[in-house]
Amino acid sequence: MHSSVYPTQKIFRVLVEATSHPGRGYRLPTCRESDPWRTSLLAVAYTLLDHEVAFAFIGKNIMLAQQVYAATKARQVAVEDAHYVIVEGNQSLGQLNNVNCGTSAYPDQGATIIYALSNDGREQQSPLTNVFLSGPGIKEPLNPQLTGLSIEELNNIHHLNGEYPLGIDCIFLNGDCQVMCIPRSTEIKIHQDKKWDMLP
Amino acid sequence: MNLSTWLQQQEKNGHQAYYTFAFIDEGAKREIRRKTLKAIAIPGYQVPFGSRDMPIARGWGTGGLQLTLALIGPEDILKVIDQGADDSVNAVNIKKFVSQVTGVRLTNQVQEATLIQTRHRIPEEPLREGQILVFQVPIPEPLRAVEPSERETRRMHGEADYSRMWLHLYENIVQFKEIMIGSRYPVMVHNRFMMDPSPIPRWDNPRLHMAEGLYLFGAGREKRIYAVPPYTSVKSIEFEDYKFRVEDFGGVACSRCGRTNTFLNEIIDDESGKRTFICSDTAFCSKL
Repeated sequence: MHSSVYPTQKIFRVLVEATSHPGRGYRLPTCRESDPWRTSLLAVAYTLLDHEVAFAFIGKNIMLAQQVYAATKARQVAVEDAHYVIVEGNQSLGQLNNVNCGTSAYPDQGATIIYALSNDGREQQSPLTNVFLSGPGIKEPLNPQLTGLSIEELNNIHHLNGEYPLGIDCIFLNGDCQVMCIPRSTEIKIHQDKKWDMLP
Repeated sequence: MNLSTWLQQQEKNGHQAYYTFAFIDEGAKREIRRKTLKAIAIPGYQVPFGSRDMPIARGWGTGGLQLTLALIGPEDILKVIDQGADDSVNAVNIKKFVSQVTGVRLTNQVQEATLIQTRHRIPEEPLREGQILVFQVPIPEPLRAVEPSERETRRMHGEADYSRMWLHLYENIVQFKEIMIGSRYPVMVHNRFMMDPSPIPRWDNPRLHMAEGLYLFGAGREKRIYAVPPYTSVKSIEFEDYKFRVEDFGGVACSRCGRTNTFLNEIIDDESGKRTFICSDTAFCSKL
């Protein structure tokens, strides 16, 4: 029996917990404090990606996309053809508009988006207290517990998931070795100017 | 030759064991893991997966077994039950197999287990957060009784067109004045997908609703994985004037532990013809 298989099993179990409890932050077991951004992304990629799936990369760090390919042998393709889309930072800058949201017969073909949040000071460093998540896996509406998220991007995700069960599932990784998931079944509400607004 | 004998021979001959941790290869596990996450993300929806050959025959729990093997780690504590019993043939064989290929600790106690594989029952004790219950599913499609075509049932799920199932229930009531579905009673998950809860008795259906644990369903022969995440609405289908109801044991108590609030198995003595009832969940029955 090979001990090298244990890390992916542990990472997978953390992802199962995170998907089962959307909005909660969980610590990734194999993440290195010295290089959390790269190691957490590669750990999740190595757990889920292989030559049977394709990924797209949205960001400037081309080296990172090459490292994902080297670690997983997953093909790099355009966003609309990708099973997994890796986003560098917290903004996809509108490039997710063409992402695959699945079909009514096969909604599971909708892509999974992996956000590698950098925590480099440009992003929100405290949890978003005006964003509320509800739905399966959530007992009481809660704020997303991860820092570094963008309200505009959450708004974008909300629109893409407007025709449930079509939609995308999101995994957020931040610089504190934390992971959080927002699957398509989660409802995102944003509280603006002291009144509740249901997003259109 | 059984697996442990073969492994001992391999070691004696200086060969490494030619299987990975938890038996199935890492590529297969990765695919099952991807599909499992999709299943949790879309509660009640059946995700197709490439079911692998296992050392037990299809129809004997290969779907549940593949899920268990993709989930399990060295620190897990495993419980396996078959119709509520820890010691029946299917449960014992699966337990032995998983233990041999992972070395994990086994238990009969629900509260101690981190991972529970089950055939046709939900344990009487409620699951807590972090626990996972893996169901073995023979027929994952709740609409199969009313529609034989897979393409058509896919369309029906896609359009949330469950009219034929409602008609099936209505015809039951017209003919028998009762909904004649014993086990596999269909449920609506998150108010969107109709789901087959596997052949659990009606008694267990309410326990799927807003549970704290994660429920995963694996159908190896039919190549489907689906899930009910924690705190998810799961409602048994019913009419306003014909409500869903669980089995009624008429106040009979378990002859072993004396409980009257558990699901009971009826035992008939072949010689005397005497009928006795005992709890279906043997671990719960022993815990007095």
